[in-house]
Amino acid sequence: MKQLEEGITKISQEVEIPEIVMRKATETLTMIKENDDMKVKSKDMNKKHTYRTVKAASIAAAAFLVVGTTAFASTKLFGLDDYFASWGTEIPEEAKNLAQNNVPQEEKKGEKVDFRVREYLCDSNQMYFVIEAKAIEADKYLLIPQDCSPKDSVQNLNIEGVTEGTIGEYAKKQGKELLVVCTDVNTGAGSVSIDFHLEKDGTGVFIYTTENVQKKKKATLTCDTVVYPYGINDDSQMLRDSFNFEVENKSNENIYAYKVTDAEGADAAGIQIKDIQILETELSQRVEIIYKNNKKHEGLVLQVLGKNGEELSFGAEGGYTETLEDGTEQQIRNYEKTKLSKTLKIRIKDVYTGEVFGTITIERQK
Amino acid sequence: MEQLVKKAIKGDGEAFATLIQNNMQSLYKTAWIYLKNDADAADAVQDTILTCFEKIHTLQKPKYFKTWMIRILINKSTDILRKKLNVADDGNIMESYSMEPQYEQCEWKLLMNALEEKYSVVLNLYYYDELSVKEISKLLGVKQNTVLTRLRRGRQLLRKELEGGCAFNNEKLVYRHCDE
Repeated sequence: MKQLEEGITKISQEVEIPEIVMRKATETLTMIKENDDMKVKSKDMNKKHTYRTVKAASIAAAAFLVVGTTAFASTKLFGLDDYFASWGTEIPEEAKNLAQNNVPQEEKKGEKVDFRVREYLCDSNQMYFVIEAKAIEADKYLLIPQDCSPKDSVQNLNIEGVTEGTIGEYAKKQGKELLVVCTDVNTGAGSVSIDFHLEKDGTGVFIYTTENVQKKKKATLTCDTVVYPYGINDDSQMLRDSFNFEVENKSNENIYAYKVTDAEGADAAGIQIKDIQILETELSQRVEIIYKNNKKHEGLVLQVLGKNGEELSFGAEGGYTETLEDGTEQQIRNYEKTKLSKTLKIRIKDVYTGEVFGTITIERQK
Repeated sequence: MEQLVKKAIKGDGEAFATLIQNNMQSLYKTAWIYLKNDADAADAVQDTILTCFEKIHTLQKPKYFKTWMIRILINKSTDILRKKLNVADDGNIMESYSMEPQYEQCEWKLLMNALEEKYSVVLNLYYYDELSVKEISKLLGVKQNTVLTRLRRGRQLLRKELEGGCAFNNEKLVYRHCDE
């Protein structure tokens, strides 16, 4: 027994982790941290919000003005095309006319920073906003988002061609003070992903991606803004404001009902498919599946497969699963636009264990 | 740990990094048991960190983080192993899957290498990671009775090994240290 105890002690002891393992892990974590501070891609089954919600000050009544678009013609500004390209995709050709850069919005003069909606793209499933922040004294302030500190790599600011050093060093070199800018668009969605880019002229650009939960053809949204010098914790020194802007969903939508024709995989997983609908627009496809999870698998996902047998690519808003009042579960997954065939396969998988229960076949109904 | 997991799920990179750092021993040890090689273990750990980060928002219950992470690691490790063995199928198994030199200098590695993988994995998860039989069963996709059997058998083999005898047959020599 003594030997056994000794063996168990040896198994339980910590070992020296080799340098190669530590180095690779540290490199990966550093890369994740640098990317994650500024760029969170909401890709799958949960709610994300990268920045704290900011409370809006009362909105002064103001008329909606159409902001001119001459600036777009003269200078190449960061827009949704660039955003899609940064993820290795592009706006589908048929969805390009859904992007609007002539946004009706309340024009307000900021104390230190002017904000406006530069562009948006909206369909029945999701919304993208590009919001710019321009320091009034652009030669005095370097705009940074809320989650950045001077010690962070300057790469967090996504300035074209600038990769070396920290934000603090970059600001010093530019002879600028750090000014924190935050924006938040209240769309009603629980999930918001925010990306940030700093343009060469010092304009900060926020890119929001979120689910279109209201599904209205036209909506007035509020953008809350907060501005404060870096390091300030006193709420009274924070400049809070907000402005309204209008968005219009010009997408055409088709809703397709699908029916299960081969339920073998569902039987193996102990689930019963109740309803499958795919809502398709020029920009994306939203798959809604209602099912009974008889075996209460907690990590269950239903993945729509493409021709190559891999799951279709997610759109900006990944999706989520929720339990409905009657105890059934509803899974919603948003995919990038692709041509779907009449017959589709759905893989049923437990993401906790990696176990694949099988696939089901579904067929579009007339 | 659950608080960290919750923060990581919400996109807190710092919390995610802390979670990984707190679990580095588990990650490295499990990867090594499968791969018997530090360079490959480093790759498996790296792939696991990336996948965990990409998928952490799919985790519905924070308490399952560790088993979920180890499951991903096992998948990554077996992927690496599979690729190596494909090369081996072409006729070069021993060279393509060489064990690291000087592994005998680490008692833990020596013991883990002396046991068949199915036993070393279960013993390690049970005694080092302190997972329950139920959790190991779920993680490895085997019945709880199987886990109990492997634990019992693993303990017997461990004792024999420590008593100085060679407790094992030679079927899977490539993964095992056993002085004939």
